[in-house]
Amino acid sequence: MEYKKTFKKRIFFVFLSVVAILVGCEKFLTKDLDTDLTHDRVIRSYDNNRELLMSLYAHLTSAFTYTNGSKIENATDNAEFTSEGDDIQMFNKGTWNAYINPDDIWQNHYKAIQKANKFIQNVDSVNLEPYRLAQGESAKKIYETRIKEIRRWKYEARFLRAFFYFELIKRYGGVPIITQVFDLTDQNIEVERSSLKASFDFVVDELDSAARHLPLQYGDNDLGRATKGAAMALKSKVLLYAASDVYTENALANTYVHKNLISLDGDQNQRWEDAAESIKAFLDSTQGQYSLSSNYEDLFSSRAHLEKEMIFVRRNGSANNFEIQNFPIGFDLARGGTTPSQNLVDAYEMKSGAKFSWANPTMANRPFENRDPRLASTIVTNGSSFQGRIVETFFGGKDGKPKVNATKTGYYLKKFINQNLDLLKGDKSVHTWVFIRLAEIYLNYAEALNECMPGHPDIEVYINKVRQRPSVGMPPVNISGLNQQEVRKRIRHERRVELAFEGQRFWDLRRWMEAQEYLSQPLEGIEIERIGFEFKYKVVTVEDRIFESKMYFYPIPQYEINLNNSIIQNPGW
Amino acid sequence: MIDKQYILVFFVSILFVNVLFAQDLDSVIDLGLNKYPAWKNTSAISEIKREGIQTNFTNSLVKSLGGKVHGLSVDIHNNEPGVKNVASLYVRGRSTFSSGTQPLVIVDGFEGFMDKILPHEIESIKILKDAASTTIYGDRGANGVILINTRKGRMESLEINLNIKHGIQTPTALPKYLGATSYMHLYNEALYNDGIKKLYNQEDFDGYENNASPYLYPDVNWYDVLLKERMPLSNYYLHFNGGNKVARYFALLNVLRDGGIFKNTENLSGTLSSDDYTQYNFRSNVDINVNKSLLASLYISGAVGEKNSMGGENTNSIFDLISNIPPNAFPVYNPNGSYGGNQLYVNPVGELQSKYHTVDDRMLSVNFRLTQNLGSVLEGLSVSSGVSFNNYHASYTMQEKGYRRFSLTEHNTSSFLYTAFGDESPISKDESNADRWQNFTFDAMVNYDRNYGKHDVDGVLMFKVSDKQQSYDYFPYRHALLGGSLLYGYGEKYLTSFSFSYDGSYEFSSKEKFAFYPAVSLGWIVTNENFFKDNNIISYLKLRTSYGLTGNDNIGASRRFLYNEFYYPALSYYFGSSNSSHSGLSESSLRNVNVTRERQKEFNFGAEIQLLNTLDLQVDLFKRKRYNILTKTHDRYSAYLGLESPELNVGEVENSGMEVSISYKYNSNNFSLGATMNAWYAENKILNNAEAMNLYSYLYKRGHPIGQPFVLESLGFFKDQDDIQNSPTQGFGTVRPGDIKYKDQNNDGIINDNDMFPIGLPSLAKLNAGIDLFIRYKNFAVSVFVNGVSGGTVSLDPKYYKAIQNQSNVSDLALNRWTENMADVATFPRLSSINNENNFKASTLWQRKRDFLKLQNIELSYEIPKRTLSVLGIQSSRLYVSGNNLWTIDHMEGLGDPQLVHGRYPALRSYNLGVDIKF
Repeated sequence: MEYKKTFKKRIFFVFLSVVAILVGCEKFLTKDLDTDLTHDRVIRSYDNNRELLMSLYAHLTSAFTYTNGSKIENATDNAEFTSEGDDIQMFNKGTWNAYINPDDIWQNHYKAIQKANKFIQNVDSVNLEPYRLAQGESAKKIYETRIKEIRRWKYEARFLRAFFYFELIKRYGGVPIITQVFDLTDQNIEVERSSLKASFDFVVDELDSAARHLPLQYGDNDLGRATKGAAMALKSKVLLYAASDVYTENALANTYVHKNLISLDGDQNQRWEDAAESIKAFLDSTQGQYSLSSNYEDLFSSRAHLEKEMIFVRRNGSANNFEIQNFPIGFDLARGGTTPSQNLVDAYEMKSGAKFSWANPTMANRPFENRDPRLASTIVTNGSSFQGRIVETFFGGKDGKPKVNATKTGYYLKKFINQNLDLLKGDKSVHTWVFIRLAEIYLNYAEALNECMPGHPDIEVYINKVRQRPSVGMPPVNISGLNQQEVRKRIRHERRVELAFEGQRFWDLRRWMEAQEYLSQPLEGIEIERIGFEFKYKVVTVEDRIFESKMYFYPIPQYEINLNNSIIQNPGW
Repeated sequence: MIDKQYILVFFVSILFVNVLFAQDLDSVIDLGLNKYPAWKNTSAISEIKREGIQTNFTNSLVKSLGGKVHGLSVDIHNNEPGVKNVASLYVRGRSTFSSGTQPLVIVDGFEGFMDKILPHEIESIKILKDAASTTIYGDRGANGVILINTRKGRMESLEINLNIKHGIQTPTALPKYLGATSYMHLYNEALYNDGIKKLYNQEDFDGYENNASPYLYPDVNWYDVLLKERMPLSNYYLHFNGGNKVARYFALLNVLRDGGIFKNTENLSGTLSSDDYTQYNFRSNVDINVNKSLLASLYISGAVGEKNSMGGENTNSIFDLISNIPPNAFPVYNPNGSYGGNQLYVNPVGELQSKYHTVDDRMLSVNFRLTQNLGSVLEGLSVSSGVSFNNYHASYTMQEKGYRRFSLTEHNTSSFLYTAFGDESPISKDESNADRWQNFTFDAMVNYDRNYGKHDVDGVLMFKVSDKQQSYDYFPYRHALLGGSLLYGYGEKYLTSFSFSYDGSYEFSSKEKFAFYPAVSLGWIVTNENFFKDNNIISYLKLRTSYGLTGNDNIGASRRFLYNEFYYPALSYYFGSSNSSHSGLSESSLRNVNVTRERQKEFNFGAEIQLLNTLDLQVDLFKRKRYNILTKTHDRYSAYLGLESPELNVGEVENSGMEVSISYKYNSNNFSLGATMNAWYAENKILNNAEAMNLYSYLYKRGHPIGQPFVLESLGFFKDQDDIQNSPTQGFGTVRPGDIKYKDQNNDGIINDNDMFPIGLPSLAKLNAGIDLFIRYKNFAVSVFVNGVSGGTVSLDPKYYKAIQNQSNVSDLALNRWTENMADVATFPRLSSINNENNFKASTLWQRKRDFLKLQNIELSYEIPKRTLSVLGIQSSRLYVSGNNLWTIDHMEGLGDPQLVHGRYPALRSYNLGVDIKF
């Protein structure tokens, strides 16, 4: 009996140990140290918040080899992309749709917007208490500068968020306006698309408040951040878009049940006036901040980010993939990418200001001579010099057919390309993508004035500022005697030539409701035959293109439609 | 770390209990989980004994297991000796599309490491397949369990066993690349096809014809230059086995040496060497009866590996190089003794001689267990507790130097011009890389095993904690598990068992930390029923079935601890006049506090039948559903919410199949015959993977097995320009006659990646089979092993078919290329010197059936009559010859082994000679 008792005691003891171990398990199985950056830690940290804002800037499309950057020009009458299999060709072949869209930024931009929302919501949680409570002048100073800095950050983020929304509106019309922060429990939240007006209003309001709080300029180390000027300029551009024909009641909108998603009511003329006024406001309040660069080519060089003409740009690190993609094919590693079209080349005037014409034998024999200097700055033509050698795009030439991936148009791209790079050596350089520069603002101003106050003297002044940049030096335009329609044509021409390959034409043609005319034209190139020392030129069709009226607006991606009953598709898709 | 005091408490209590209850008992119960007699088993388990695996002479145990045990598929992907991750093992095929498919390996009752274990130190390998047998392993049971028991000492006088085995290995097949003149003809043809003028003219061909100069007209077969014709493989071991009632031991020393594939050449320190691998193993398994009721077991084993490798850390870079260099590119050595080479390619011999890597790894495993029989208190009761410590360390030494290679041009008839590439540099040595892990397990259990007349009760209750730490991973992998099973049998006819585990895993948040897994099984031994007793045909029949829940916490997440937020440096931006970079911070997908383990429900039905007392048949049918598979979801959160696609436990896979095993044994004095046939089949289907929406329904992976290939369907080659005009546009560059014509699956007039259609099967074959045959007549014996698979697809590696692309080599597949005259019989597209995206897309043209039947092994042996040798003290001795991988039927058209089609370290055939002596 005694024996059994002890046994029971021991068993009980063992049992107790089991229980003790099970209780200890929870701790044993739990991470004892948090090395990860948790949310709480991040939002309280000054450095982490600064870094979060940095990554928000990095969400600006890096542009160069991307569809929503330089490559989009290939979906306009300005260029053709060499690779047939490239996604960008879907625009030209008309094979894009709600399922597949080479420029589907929907998902990516909403991610950036969510990041911005989260940043804006949390940035005030940065813990500056140690500085506030610390003794001494230096701590106090840090505290004060940081308080200011954090306030500014918030408006930088709001500027960027407005920028992202504008990119969405350009493509899709009215979009869901989202300013709140979500987590995984928000699976079933359904948000409707805001009307186009509400979407534009949101962006404009946000830019107004950003402009009120952002500085006119930064110290040397912070150059490149969003400024008051950037906010005002972007706002004026948004208003210019809002005033444009595509958003005014038109056939496309009138047959669409939800027309407030893609068009605006009210007086279009008033909207042009608002646009002109906001540009004027920008010009007045940023006097001395910006000026046209004397050399057009500097704007696309590796030092472009220092040019005083730049209002807002996408900065990038050193790279050479843009050169690899676009160098003339005869250069090592080149792939033959974006090639300018004959349609564009023909648009450049003669140096004299006369229109170029193949019917004129002098012009036709030497088609690349005596042209608007911006042609040679933008486009590599046959016989021009590139990296110290003559470019041969004629048939059988070093850069011409029948070489694989040789240009189909007879031209190569020059703008933004650093021809000094030795690709075999792996040379790289800085590239700066222009979102808004002063020349565009001038042309925007001319355009807006011509729409609401035809004949206004400033129209001529601002067009000619752009034409008479020292390195361009084109003869001035005189609008007296021209009617509004003729002036409109001059402005649109100037815009096409000045801003070629800067990602503008794709949108300009749409907002002017001219896409159907220009984007369904065949894309032309030139065939050059060398006969002795002479060249014979023949304009040929490179590609037939397709544009349907529904393509003025992108389709909302099908994946979104499928997940949401509340999201309405754009007309025709 | 581990709460050591608890462990101490356990050991002390066991010793304490022992002191209190030490009683004279006749027998010692040898404990371990599932140590029931076979008739009590109600779950799906397959087993192989040592005899079944040791005839196949390879440098790694896993390579010997393919086709041997039903339910275990071995997918060998690297045949190089001494490398990690030689093969992937699958129990009952694949049941999850996450990366965590590995079965749990248990060695002598503890989590172990299979890579360095030798076949002849194994007593048996069991594969636990169904829920009833694996549920007790908690979060790591769902992928199946491989139970390895090593040899124990026998209760007999000392036996010393010496075994010497030598083998010669040769590659079964290597990619076949063309010789120089054929290559040049084809190259010219490729240029012609591209409208470019010929590169090689008559003079060049004459140069080869007249053997003008081996330097200017090189024709190098790099396989011949670099590879040994015969690679030696040898193994020596010495076993000591014996014991008595008090202590028993099994000890082993083993040396395995694989002589490497490259010819001996001077390495960078100037000595002759090859890539080789040597492995030293030792083992000491000792069981001691401390007193009549306490058993102490101490099993210590270790392995030391030394891998020398030339030309890189493994042979891959050299094999990749060989498959690229055209035969006429350059000679091995130039006339002045320097290395040949050109701008594009380095010299493979130069590589071998200037890069020397060694991996030294060691592995130590110590298992200690105390088992206390408590029969004096309650008959059939015992307690046991053990600890296991495994430690692995590998250090990497890398020595490299730069060297120059020269390309040669003729200056005049007697001298050459040399153009140098690459730079000389002194030897650099890097010893900074190391790799280690260690794992610690502690368990304690109570067993109860008792028979009351017609009632049989077997129970076990177990507690186990394990901790694994590894380099490059800050946090450990831990588990704490409480598990048990209870089996009740009535009259040796009806069996029922219940098992469970409650497992806690380090991987999950406190909310999801623990999981409970139950399983039940039933068995009915029909032949023990009275109405069946007199049956002469069916000597044994048992029906059994099981159903239960198992889990897998190796969930293949993009990062560990998904339940926490995770920010990482990314997306930097540039500010300032100097455009300097500023780092950014990005948040990965949102935290998922509910992240949890995969779970699996499994139903199993099995029958064990014996006919005529000689023929054994085992059949198992299973159906399982894995759910809660972690997957990146693209189908539920609106994109405008702006969230990174979250990883949620929503994936589901269904897997079903069967296993059959038939074996026959006959034994008499002069003659024995044994035959075993195993076959197993498993087929899975993805039920849910939350994939993104697709334009065409056939693009969904859902509804297909895991690893379903999606390829373009080749319709042959374009006949002419008209054919191209009249066919859908192909979006992979301009096509010409002779290029592959693809089927427009969606009839949209364009061939692009949307036309990738599910064709073929996953590479892991659905059906596996193996046949083992053993015949002995007097002193002669033969054993044969044949292995086959069916229902899988191989996609050829581009090395086999990328002719001339990027100036590369051409394999003999291209001999059957399309030309205008050969258009009807061509099996290979037209040649092109330019990168031809169209022809080298993944397509049916490059798929082959994986099915094969292989004569994996034959062994002939002769037992030397005892009396001849007994004077020398030799108990028995056996001489044997064997051959591995001797013959294959497959669909590979001689390209290579269907299991290894990457064009790297090849599959090997070997011929071996051995002697086995027992003293």
